[in-house]
Parts: sequence; C-alpha cells; structure tokens
Amino acid sequence: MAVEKKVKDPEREKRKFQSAKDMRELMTAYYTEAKVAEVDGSKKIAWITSGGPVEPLHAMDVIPIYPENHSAMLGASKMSVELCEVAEEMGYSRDLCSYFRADIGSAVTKKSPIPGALPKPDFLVASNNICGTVTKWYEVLSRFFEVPLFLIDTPFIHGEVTKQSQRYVEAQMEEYIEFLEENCNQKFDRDRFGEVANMAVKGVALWEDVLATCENKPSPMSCFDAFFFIGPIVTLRGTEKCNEFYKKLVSELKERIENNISAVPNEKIRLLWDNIPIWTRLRDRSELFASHNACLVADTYTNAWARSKINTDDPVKGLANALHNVYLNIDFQQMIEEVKVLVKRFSADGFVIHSNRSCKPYSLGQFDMAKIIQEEMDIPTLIIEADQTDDRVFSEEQTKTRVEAFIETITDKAS
Amino acid sequence: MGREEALKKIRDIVNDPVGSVKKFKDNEKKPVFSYFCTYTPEEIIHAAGGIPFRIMGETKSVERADSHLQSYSCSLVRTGLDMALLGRLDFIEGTVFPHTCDSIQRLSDIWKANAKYPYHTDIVLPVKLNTKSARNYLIEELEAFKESLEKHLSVKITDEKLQESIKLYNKMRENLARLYKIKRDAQKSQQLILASDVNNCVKAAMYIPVEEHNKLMDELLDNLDEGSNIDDNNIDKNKSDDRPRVIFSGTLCVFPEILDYVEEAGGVVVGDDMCTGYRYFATKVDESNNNPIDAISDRIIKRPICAAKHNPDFDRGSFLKGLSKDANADGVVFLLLKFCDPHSFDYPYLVESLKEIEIPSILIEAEMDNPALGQVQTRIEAFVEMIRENK
Ligand code: SF4
Ligand code: SF4
Repeated sequence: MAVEKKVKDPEREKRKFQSAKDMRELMTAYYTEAKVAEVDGSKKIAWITSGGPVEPLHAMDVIPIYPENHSAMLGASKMSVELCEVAEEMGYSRDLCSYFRADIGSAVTKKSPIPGALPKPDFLVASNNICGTVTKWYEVLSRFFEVPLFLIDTPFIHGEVTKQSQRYVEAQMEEYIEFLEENCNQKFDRDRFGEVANMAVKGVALWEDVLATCENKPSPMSCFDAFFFIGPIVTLRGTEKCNEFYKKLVSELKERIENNISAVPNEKIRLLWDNIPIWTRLRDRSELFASHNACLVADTYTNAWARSKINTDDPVKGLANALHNVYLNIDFQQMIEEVKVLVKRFSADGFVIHSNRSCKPYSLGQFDMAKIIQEEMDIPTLIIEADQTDDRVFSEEQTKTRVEAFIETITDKAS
Repeated sequence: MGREEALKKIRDIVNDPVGSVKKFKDNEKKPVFSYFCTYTPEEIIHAAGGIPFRIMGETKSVERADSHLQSYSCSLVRTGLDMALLGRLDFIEGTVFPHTCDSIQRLSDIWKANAKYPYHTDIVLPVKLNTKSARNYLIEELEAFKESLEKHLSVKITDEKLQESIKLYNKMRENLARLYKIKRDAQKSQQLILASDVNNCVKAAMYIPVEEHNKLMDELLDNLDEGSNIDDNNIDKNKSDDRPRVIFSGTLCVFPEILDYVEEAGGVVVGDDMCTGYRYFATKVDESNNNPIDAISDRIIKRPICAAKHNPDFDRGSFLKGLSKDANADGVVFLLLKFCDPHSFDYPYLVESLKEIEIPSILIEAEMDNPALGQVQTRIEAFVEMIRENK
C-alpha cells in the first residue's frame, strides 16, 4: 500500500488565510476579557451549551463561555485524552461524550491551553436541543461549581412542531429572562435584546455567505477551514465584532475565488462531511483528502449554524423557535432531506460520515442515512468510526485504507 | 393456586413475554401496544382497550440491528430493534416512544423507517419536571397521545374508563409495594421469596394485562402473608439476621440471576432504585382527582425520577440514601446497561452520596447480548463477603 506523502505545496503561503490571524486575535481577546472578569468581577460569566440562547446573555452584558468549544480546543491541542482519563478516574464512564469528560477533567485539574483553564461560571445555561448529554453534564457542573443551572427543555421534533411544545419553549424563554434578572440583579432590557437579536440574524446570514462561497468550483475553503472559522458564530453571535469578522472573511473568500485560489490545489473530487470533526486529527484528515485531490466542500455541522434564524418581529418568541428547530433536534427523515439539499447545492461527489462515538444524537441513524443518500442521490458514502476528541478510539491505518478505497470508487464512477 | 404455582406462572411469563402476551391478545382480541420506557402512561393505553407491553430486548446476540445501530448504543436499543427486525413483534399494533434519552430518540426514527407497524407515536415528555410550564406541557402531550389513540382505534376514552384503568394500575402498584415490604422485612428463617422472583413479579406487570397480574399477585400475596407474619409478634426477634443487606440501583435488570447471586452468596436483596423495580410502581395516581389526565401527569412528576429526567427538587443521591437507610442496607450494587448515558452520568455522584453514610457499592455494567455472567457472579460474591466483614 502506498505510503502517504506529505505533499509540499509550493503555493502554501498563498493559501493561508489572512482572516486566521484576525480570528485568533478575536478569540484571544474574548477569552482574555473573560479571564479578567473572573478576577475582578466586572462582568458575570455564564457557561452555556452550543445550542443555547446566547443572545439574552449579550443583552445582559454577561460573558458566555462554551465548554464544548473549549473541549474542541483541548482536542486540537492533544490534551483531551489525558483529561478524559481524569474524568474516568472520577468514575465517569469512558462511553460518555468526550467533550464532557475533557471539560470536567480540565475543570478539576485546571489544565488547558488557556492559562488557568476556563473562567469559573456565575451560573449555567443549558439547552437540550442538541442532546440529553448536556442536561446531565450541566447538572454535574452545577454541583461542581455550586452555581445555579437553568435548563431550556426543547422537546424533540418528530415530524412537526406541535402547538404545545412551541408554547412550552416560549414560556421557558420568559422563565429564562426571569432567571437572568435574578442572577444579574438587573432588569432585562427588551430593546437592547432586540438589537442583539438583529445583530445575530445578520451574523447568521454572514456565516451562510461564508459557507456559500464553497459552492464555487473549485472551493475557496474546505470544511476543515470552516471548522476553524466557526468559533465566532457560536461564541460571539449577536455582537458587532462577530459580524465584522465574517464580513472580512466573506471578502477574503470572494477574492480567493477571483484569484482562483482553491483550498485544495487540484480539486477533482468534492465531498460532503457529516458530524462533528475529529478535532484531534483535523490536520491529518485535511491532508489525507487533499493528497487525493479531494476537497470536503461542506458539512452538516457548520451548516447547522446557518439555519437557525430568529424572527425579529417578536425576538423572544423568535429565539424560542430558532432554538427549538436546530438540526440535532429534528428527526432523521428531516435530516436526510437537509443532507440532500447540501449534496445538490455543493455538487458533492461523495458523502463522508463520521460515526462519532461521543455523540449519539448525531450518529445513531447514520447507517440508514448512508443507505438512503447512496441510493437516492447516487453518490458513494463512507463511514469512519472515530471520536471527536478521544483519540484512543481512532484507527489511523483502517481509516486511511477505507478513505483510499472510497476515493477509488468515486474516481471509477466518474470515468 | 398455591404460592409455588403462582410463582411458576409468573416465571413462565417472564421467560417468554412474547408468547405470553400473544396468548392474551388472541383470547381477548385486544391490540398490543409496545413501549420501551416506564414513563409510558399505561392507563391511557388500557383505557383505549389496548394491552401495554414493555419491550426489554432479548438476552441473545444481535442478528439484524447491527446494520442500523452502532455498537456504542445500549443493548436495550439494539436487541429491541432486533426483535422487531426479526419479526418477533409482528403481532403488535404499534409502538409508543416516550422521550427518554438520545438513543431512544433516534431509535424511534429508525424503528419508524424499518419496522412497519400500523401505529407509531412519540410522547415527547418534558425532561424538566419541576416547573409549571413543564407540567402544562406534559398534560397537553398526554392529551395529544390520548387523542391519537382514540383516532387510531376509533374509540372514545372517557374519564370514567380512565378512572377504572387508574384503579387497576394502582392496585398493581399496591401489590408490588406490599411484596417489596414483605421481602424487605422477612427474617432469614422465613425464606419467603427469592429476589429473582420479586423481580419477575415486577416485570410480569409490564408484560401481561393488568387484570391478570392483579389476580396472580392476589394469590401470591395471600400465601406470602400467611407465612410472613410481618406484623406479628411471633417472629423470633432474637434469632439474629446476619445476612448482608443489598440494594440495587440503575437501569433495567434483564438478568434476574444477578439478584440471586447476592442471595446465593449469603446476602439478601432488600430494595432497589431500578426501572424494572421500585421506580416502576412507586407512587400511585391520585384517584380522588377527577381529571384523570391531570392525575396521571402528577404521578409522572412525583414518582422517583429516572436519571434521564431533570428535577432540581428531587435529588437522586438523597433518595438513594433514604432508601438505603429505610431498608437498613449494607451495600449497593449499581447495575447499569453499558452505554447508558443518563445513568452513567449520575453514577459517580450516587457513589459519593452513599459514602456520606458509609455504604459501599460496586458497579456492574452488563450488555444484554454479552452478559459475562460468570464474572459478574464472582464480583458479587466478593462484594457480599466484603460487606459481611464490614457489618
Ligand atoms: S458532542 Fe453530541 S453528545 Fe456531546 S455535547 Fe455535543 S451534541 Fe451533546
Ligand atoms: S438503558 Fe439508558 S441508554 Fe439505554 S434506552 Fe435506557 S436510558 Fe437510554
């Protein structure tokens, strides 16, 4: 079998993103502000789940912190396994989501690429619109930090949103506002919130524009880049800074298209990715695919952030609705429909599915999904068994062999 | 019918749930509605003229489900789907999926796409149980379920019917509670009933029509009461009972032999916080409430919670400590299905809580299709020995 060659790209410099530096600065400033607030108490800090309602926090001047994002960082910096092991020593099963294990491991040991680890929360906000795991995870955090937890319970959508579940989520938005008022000792300013919601809508639209540039052939960026650039739309959604950043990124991407700079030098194969990235192997994966002239042009994960739009006529209700309808909160028949749209929009030649041991709501059902997409869209599918941040369940050799076989199938099909 | 005969009947039901419920279905000409989780409002199914039947998977290797479900989903989900794919459930009218965990949630999707029964519904119960809005939602969701059954079966579920069903189910709950009390308080010399048989009695309630269960339990309990003399002063109080007393906590127990291992090693099982045990029958529906759906919702909120629910007003650690104290327990066996997220999350906290009252525990993770029972037995023996020495 051929040994993978690290293709030295002579134009590598040219392909580097200007925005990468901006983004690092943006994220560093964000974490620095939070660390300062932790010490001087100038602002309240809330830990929140990735699907949670962050806009009201910005409206209340609370700094939102995303443990999931941090766990991804722990994965990318190869610290996650060690921290998962800490959690396992505490009695947490190795079968639990590795984001959680890495997070609690970091909270206990204070180990993190961020000096002193994440700033301690004043309170916690969780929404189970992404999984049941976060409900339990935040219960653990609530006991660990001895701080209050507000859970926004968003009933799963089998088929259609029911009237009763809509009412329930809306009622909880009002309860959430009360919770915030109590924990911040401050009235909730609905006008200010309206402004934040507007800003968030614009941010989401910009993020959509970012991803849409990948419809171009060749694609100016790959989903590996998108995984990196997703930070602000998750953490800073609803702020001016977030939107500024994406405006610049969109222009940079458009420039790349004009100058014919593509993510993969000689793009021949376009692929769609499903599930959370394998953060510990991002670089390797990206290079492995690129070495076969294959570009992962889109993915269900970063696109999930482009679909939750708040109706700003009544932003509180609008936010409730947006939360309720996120990608992981809908049944897989509906997910399949969305995947089909992505396949068409991004002209994908194949579908790469990450069966992610950590994330059951994302992964269970993928076998059926693969079959249906393969049949109905007539494109090959590949299932990779791995984990988002627990590198111990990854088999390099096996993955490589399977990716190669998969690429071959696509190539044969094209010729 | 004597005690042995009643117990044998119950054992037969548990050994062949599918065969047993089919017989009732054929005799009574009633549709069977299967379900996975004890939060299912059985009374509503019963009042609609159906037989509720809990799917607990099967303790054998998976044949077909592996091409639909990853190996990291729990064995209940995998073996349950296997039953459907193998046609073992072809006699059912349909399935009811109350919202439990991420795995069940996706199983519902897969089930719907691959196991085609005439009826399929999701009762998306609230996860949160401590607020007024959650309560309202729960009531509306149960109303919607009621309507969907009415429509499917072209029947009317009147309040009167529901109230009758509630009475029957409350009777079942009372019976099981009485059985638990007898078991808990029995002296060593009495050897009234094995732990596995107690467990079988609970499970049988999930498999056969409630009326039949009530009949069987009446027989059994009359017999047991006779031999138990629980409230009688005749018990030789001096005869000290030195058996280590053990409680189980966790998901569902599909291997009753595991309970017997405790007793074979000289211990006694005196209670549990399991969904094939106490959690299933604890808390009755308030019969004096003349809005039956409201009353059923109330029970769902008030019963001891499962790890998959969120209720800041109900602390599972304190609850387990309370159970242990009431039963005078010496040790706790955590029995979890491997890959069960909600329960695995609670486990370290529950162990900590027990440490506060100096109760030791062990963890057993079982897979239905690969139980490794020999190893389990050895570990339980060692545990019972350890707590005996601690006593
Ligand atoms: S990775 Fe999946 S299980 Fe883990 S927190 Fe995210 S959505 Fe939940
Ligand atoms: S055993 Fe656990 S993971 Fe399996 S269905 Fe029940 S709650 Fe879900």
